Amino acid sequence: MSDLTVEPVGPSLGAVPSTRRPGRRRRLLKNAAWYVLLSALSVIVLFPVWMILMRAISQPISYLSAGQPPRPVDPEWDVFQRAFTQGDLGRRLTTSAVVTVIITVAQVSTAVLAAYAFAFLRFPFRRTMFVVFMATLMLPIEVTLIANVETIRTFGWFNSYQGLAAPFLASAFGTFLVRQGFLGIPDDLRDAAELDGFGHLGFLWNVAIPVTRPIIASFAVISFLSAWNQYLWPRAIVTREAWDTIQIALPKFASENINELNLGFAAAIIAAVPILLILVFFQRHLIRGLTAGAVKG
Amino acid sequence: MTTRTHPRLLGLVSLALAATLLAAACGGDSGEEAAPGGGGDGDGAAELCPVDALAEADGPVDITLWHTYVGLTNRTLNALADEYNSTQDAVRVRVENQGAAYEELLRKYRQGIPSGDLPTIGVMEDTNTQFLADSGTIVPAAVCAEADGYDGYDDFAPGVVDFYSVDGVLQPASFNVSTVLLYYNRDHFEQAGLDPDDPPETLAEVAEYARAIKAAGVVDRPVVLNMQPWFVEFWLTGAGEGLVDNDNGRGDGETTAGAFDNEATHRLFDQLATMRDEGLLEPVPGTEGQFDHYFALGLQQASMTIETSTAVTTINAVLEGNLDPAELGLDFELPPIDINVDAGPFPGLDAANQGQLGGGVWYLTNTGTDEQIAAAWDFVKFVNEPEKQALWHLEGSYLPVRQTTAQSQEIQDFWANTRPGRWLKVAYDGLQNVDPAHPGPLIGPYTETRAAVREALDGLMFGGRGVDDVIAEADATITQAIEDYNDENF
Amino acid sequence: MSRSTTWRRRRQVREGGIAALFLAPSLLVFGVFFFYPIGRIVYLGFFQQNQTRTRQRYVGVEQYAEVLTGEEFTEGLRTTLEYVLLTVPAGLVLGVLLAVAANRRLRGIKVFHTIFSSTVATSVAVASIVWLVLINPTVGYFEVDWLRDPDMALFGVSLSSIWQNLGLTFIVVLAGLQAIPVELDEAATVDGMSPARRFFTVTLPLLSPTLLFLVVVLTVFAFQAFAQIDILTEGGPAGATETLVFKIFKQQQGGDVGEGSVMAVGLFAVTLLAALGQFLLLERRVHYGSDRR
Repeated sequence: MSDLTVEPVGPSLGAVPSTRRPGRRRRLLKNAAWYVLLSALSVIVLFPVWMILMRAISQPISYLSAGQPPRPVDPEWDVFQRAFTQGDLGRRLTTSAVVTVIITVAQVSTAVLAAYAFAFLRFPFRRTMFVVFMATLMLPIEVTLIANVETIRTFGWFNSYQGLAAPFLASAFGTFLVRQGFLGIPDDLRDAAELDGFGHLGFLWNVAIPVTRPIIASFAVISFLSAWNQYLWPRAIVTREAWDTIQIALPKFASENINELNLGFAAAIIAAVPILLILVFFQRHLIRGLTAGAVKG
Repeated sequence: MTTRTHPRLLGLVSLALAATLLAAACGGDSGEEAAPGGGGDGDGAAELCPVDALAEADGPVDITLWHTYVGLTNRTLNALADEYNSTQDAVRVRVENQGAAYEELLRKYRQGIPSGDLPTIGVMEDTNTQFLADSGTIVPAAVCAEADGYDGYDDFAPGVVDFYSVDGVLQPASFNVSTVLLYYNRDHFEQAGLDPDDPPETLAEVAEYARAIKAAGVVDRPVVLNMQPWFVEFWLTGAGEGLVDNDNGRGDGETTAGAFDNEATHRLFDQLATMRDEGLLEPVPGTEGQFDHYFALGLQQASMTIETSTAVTTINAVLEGNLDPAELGLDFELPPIDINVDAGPFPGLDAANQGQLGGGVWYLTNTGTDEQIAAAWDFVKFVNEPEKQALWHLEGSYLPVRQTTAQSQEIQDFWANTRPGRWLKVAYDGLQNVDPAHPGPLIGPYTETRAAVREALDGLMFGGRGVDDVIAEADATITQAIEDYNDENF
Repeated sequence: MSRSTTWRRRRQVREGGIAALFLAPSLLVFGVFFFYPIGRIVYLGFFQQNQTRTRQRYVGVEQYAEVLTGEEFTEGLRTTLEYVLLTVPAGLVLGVLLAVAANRRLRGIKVFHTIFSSTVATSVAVASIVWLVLINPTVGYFEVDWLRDPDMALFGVSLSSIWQNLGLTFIVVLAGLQAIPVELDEAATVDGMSPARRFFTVTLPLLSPTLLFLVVVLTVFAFQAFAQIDILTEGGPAGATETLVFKIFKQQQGGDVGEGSVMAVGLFAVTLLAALGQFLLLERRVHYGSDRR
């Protein structure tokens, strides 16, 4: 797992000195060219975001009349506050946050437990069981949608946290990832733990989890991200506005306010903020999680 | 004008019919259709609509209302509920928005039927009437009126009560009626040498006007149309044709097949396709919350559009910017835009105002407790009061179908003195023109039928398919849907 | 020998109990929400429900034959595959482009890394609203008619997906690039290879596991695409953007549950085939280097 360094933003590349030394002038020119190219690419990537920001803060009709310039027109700075209140975004964000936290905590817990069983315990049909787990990766929620909605209805869990979270409380991907981490624990560490008199729970809690914490954290971030972004499932089992998650509420709110288009855009920006914060604070984990599968899965 | 039945007489007739139907239901030969909640045997209206249960309830009864209103209409509805909640202690109404489209709400309602997860009141599209009546999940309003000795419905316009009745039994309990208007840019008309006080009266005239506007180089595509299938229904009903057989589902027999493949449909589709081919018409897909056509009109990229009369407030607010923002509940100044929009009657296939009713109606469900049904009925009576109906008109743009309301000084002043009032008066007059003998379709598998019409319209306008082809296919789909429906209600 | 076997067996029994305990939570969830529903949709595929879904009746295997060969299913499948073709190659190429451009030693390169990975922060709903604004013909920035044109609508929708996936593809490809030992590149430079040749003969082959991983991930995303379509086109115009998943959702919501179940079974079969194909491709075509552990 760790034989490929996954640190795109790390300085490791700079460690190897260049074998040739081109002229300083030429290198400067070359660097300048790269900066120009990278800046151009940045503009392309960020352009949609910039446009929606301008539309959010500009008075909609004035903005259209002004020919949609890349600067605000008649800015209304209170638009975010108005979107927040009128769209009841606090409530939507809370619903999303609660569901996301439930799913993330549950997925991490169930995955760690299952991964431990697969990595350290001997039991009959272990391989078969592992295949059974991995088989669920082949089965997107879209396939089982009809039956799962029916199940949730039978449980009476429409419009509830348990309904929103239930199908996502376990993760084969997480199990796989954490198991890989556990398998990387050196045998002597296990032996030492056994000598220290640790049982399975003790070993799991005091050794296995701390050692694989980076992997677990990466999985947690990925789990959080996908739970937060869910759309189809809440769309199918939420029948009351009060239970709308932010992703569901967003397009609805935008189409309900056609005479104030900027409100919808402001709401979209507000909805992106939590994930933006995750990106800023957990960038390393996020990147490791996203690339985990790419590195010799 | 067409013949008009005396309202009181009509009320009596529908009550008599309600009684007949009840007798039949209690007789047990169609127990399925009678409310499953009520059992089927019992003593008539009071059993199905226990209006007295509210008095016996201990503590306030909570009821839920589902709707799809947004913007001003949403605010009107909530204001009414708040007023009701604060003026009595017996009932607490909770208003829940379920999206911005009637179709979305119907989907949710259907989802809720197997588990009984339904609201106490559903404000749904009027086209759901037959399906809901067949679903056995609603209490017909006529039954409650009988049980309660309520005569409020006598005061409603007869066409309205007709339209919402199944076999003469009034189903929904309150009505937010709208019709369709032609919105047009007066300046564009003038620039093309057309009389802005004489808007086109038929779809063919719309094409003519558009041709003149295009020729004068005013705009490139003078007509922008939101391709909603229900416009098709309006045009067909207005032309005396329908979507299904058995007199568009309202006859005495059984509805067995589609009737979409008729002369009027061909004429309509031919005209729309020609207008598009000539570059007169810009069709926009009829998705939920489509707003392109409003902006095309507002930004003067187009000269005419056809939309529901409830859009009056929105259009007036968005396009003209000369309303007091506070009146709209907005806390910012709309920039003044120099654009001169007016509204004219719905351009039918053969004459102006040949359309039908549309809008949202209030269905009472029977899946709640007796107290809830009684509470819902009590709230509906409150909403039906003439002053409350006036509020719907003044703030929500729905038409004053209660005659006392329409005649009130407040409404007369509104019509005479304000721009939205003037436009809504045009819509109200159009309503008087609706033929009570031919009020529009009544179809069980309405969702499927509308989907078929939508597909035909989309195929024609966006899919590059031919008129005959799409109409024949839709007709076959509708027939299939009706057969399945008759068959599936096994 | 036999003592050791007994000991091992006893240990297995003891550990079996703990394993059962540890696996139970996951198995419960998988059982209820993954394996049972598979059986359930296969079963529902044999039935037709009445309009209010309160009763159902058996219609048999015919429903499978009818639906799976019917226009709805085949059109939906075609649209889904088209969506894969629209989003996967484009996403891959752009991701590689960004990553290659940003994979160098420059002052402040981290800023560019953050910018290029930023679309990870957008959800599908947010990305869809962003693109709705960009490509709306009346109020959009690019005044194009794509979402109104059946031939272009899917492309219009795919732009939102491609853009939203940029962050992920960039991050993954950059990680892949940085995992390539610098010595190899240096050696090629010394050999006097041009940068382009170096990219195609050295970098790209070594990147192939990463790229195939991305192909898998992006294909799965494309198969699951729903929110973009729901928000941008609602399947229209004229049904041009109704993917299989969208059709299944539609049937689930207001249509025929039996028919929808058959479609879901069909989608499952297609997913399995695609997974199998990708697995074989991964096994055969990709050189993984030294074995793990």
